[in-house]
Amino acid sequence: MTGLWLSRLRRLGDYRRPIAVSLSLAVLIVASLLLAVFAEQRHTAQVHQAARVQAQILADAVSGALAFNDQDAIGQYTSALRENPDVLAVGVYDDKGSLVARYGAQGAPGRLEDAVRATPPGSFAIDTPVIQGGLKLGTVYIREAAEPLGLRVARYSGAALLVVMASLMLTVMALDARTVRASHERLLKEVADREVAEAALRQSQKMEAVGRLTGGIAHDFNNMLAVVLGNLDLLLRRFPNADPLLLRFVSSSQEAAKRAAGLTHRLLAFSRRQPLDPKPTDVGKTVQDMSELIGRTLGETISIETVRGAGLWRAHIDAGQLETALVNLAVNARDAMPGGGKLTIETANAYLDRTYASGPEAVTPGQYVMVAVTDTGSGMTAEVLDQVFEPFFTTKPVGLGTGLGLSQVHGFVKQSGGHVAIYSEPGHGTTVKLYLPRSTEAVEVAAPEPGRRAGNTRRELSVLVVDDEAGVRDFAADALVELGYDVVSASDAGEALRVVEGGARPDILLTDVVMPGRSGRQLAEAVVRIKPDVRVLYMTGYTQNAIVHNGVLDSGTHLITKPFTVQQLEVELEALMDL
Amino acid sequence: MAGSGLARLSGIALAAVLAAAAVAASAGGPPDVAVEATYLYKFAPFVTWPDAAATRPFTICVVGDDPFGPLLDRAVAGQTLSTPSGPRPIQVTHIDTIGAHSSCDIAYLGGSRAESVAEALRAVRGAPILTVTDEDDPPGIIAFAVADGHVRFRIDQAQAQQNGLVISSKLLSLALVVRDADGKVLP
Repeated sequence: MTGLWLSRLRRLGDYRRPIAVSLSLAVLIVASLLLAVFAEQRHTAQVHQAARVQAQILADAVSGALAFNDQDAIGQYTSALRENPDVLAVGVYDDKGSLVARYGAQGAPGRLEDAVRATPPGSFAIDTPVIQGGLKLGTVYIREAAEPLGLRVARYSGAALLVVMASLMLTVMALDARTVRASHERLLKEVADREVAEAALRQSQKMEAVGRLTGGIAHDFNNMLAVVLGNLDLLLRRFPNADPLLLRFVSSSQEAAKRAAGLTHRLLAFSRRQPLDPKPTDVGKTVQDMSELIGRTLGETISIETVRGAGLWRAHIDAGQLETALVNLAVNARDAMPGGGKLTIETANAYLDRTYASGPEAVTPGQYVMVAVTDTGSGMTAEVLDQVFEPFFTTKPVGLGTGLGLSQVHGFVKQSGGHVAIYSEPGHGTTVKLYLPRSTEAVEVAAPEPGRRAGNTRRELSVLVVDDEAGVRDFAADALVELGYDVVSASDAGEALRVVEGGARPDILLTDVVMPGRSGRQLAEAVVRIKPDVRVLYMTGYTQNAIVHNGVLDSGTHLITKPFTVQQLEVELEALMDL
Repeated sequence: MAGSGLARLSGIALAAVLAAAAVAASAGGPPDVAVEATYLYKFAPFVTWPDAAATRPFTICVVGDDPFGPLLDRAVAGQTLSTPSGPRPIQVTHIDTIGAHSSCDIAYLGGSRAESVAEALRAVRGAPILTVTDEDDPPGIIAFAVADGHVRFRIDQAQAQQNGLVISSKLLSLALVVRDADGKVLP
């Protein structure tokens, strides 16, 4: 019981401390004032009492002398009072009120009535009747100086000083309490902010780790696919008139390998290691072009609407990746609306300001082109929202979802320097907003479809193929021979350089980017020093900083993504030689 | 000459006026008698009588010749003595002779052909009566005297003791002369 009261009191003290301190201050000051007044009154009463006693003693002493008018004797008694410096005047009056004896500078008035009536300020007067045996023989009058104000104040100055000091201490305490409380609140807020930031950091670190993991696996896997696809391609080229059954087996294998390649590409996209080829892109046009395809994907029960924002800026992105992202989002939307619904794709210009940018996710404030994909589906809970961008996270039944759709979206947008926001209400639907960076470049005219060039000019060209992966290297060499090039192979940069220094003068260097020892880029630089007019085409599953800055190609760098087909290689090589 | 004569004349006139005023103030009698009349009842509070339980009016007897006339009555009028037995109004009685049983508390002995002051003193010896006499008469317990133009008194403690009276030291201190119980005279 007492504990409860104590805690309640303490809580009151915590929350109402400033008020409590002010109250104590007021009580302290009022109490000290009351005490001072009380003490002063008591002191005055004592002084008056002492004066009355003095007057009484005098009255008693002078009774005889007054009765028989012995002025000498009276004078002796009154003179005795001169010893008291506070006594200003003494008067002894007879029973008729006439002055019999007196002393004092200001003196006592001649008549008792006047004496009683007029008391100068700064003094007080006492008159006591002289009575002996019941006979009133006269009156004794004493006027004493009241204590000067200065002395009175001085008497309480010590106490007043203590009160002032106590007040000061209380005030300081109150201010301290306020400061401590403010700091405490600030600290709590900072801790909360930090927790949010740490959660965001943990999330991004997790994504990074998962990205590295999947990226690594996907890279190796991609190389193997390159070999499989390439060899299947060669097989078809070499035996175009083979048994149709055999050809069907091969094309089925090719189909499966291509789907596997698409999967690894999405993994690479998530891990942000997929090379991007960003160009100024009309996002509105892309969305418009895609809407037909998407509509077909969605089926009969889902209507699609596209809203193009007015004066839409161009975005600096890889249009192909945007298309993939849109398809991924559309597929998700479809799966969220099994009973039908509506899909809306809006595009608009957006400006992310500093306030938005200072949120938990790192966003650069600036101009963006926004693409919002909204469905009227089942929506997602907050727990699901926390995980949607993680690769392989899926809410779909086993076998229906790869868990890579939103990962691709996230990876693509982040790698492009944009931002993804997702809003969802369970039972109402989901909106995914992609903020794509605005392009500052001039509009690029659509490149003409590279035509196949006939002729044997390429036969005079020699190609140096460098890849540590024997399968890839051999496929590339075979493909090049198939295409009519002279081919020299090397398993790493060192061997390739020895070949070049040994007198070989390749026109084209087709090299892997990441290899043990020197990288493809270093090799290219070394070869260029020996043969400045050599053309370089990089092969890569993914690229790192050696050739790609933040996933964007160096200008003037040519790149072919593994796995590639013979035809793709042909197109790339011709584009390279056209330069 | 005329001026100085005028001045002297005016001085005499002034003296006459002052004298007249003085006479008027003392209500007809000589100044000493007026003072004595006011002193007479004022002895009462400074003296203790043996009969503390008396409740009758406090009586001042003027025995024989009365020098005071209305002065004494006027001085006493309305005065009340407070004693242990209660308040006692003061009254004045005029008698020709006094005896031990006279109901007097203070007796002013004026003397007369019927009873001289000395006879009166003898008559009240041992009785609880404060005897007061004039300067030229045989002294009672208190005897008026004039010193330096002021009315003062002597006190005879021996007689007071005989009459069973106790006189306050305050009164004794004001006396010109005090004769103590052993007959020694104290200044």
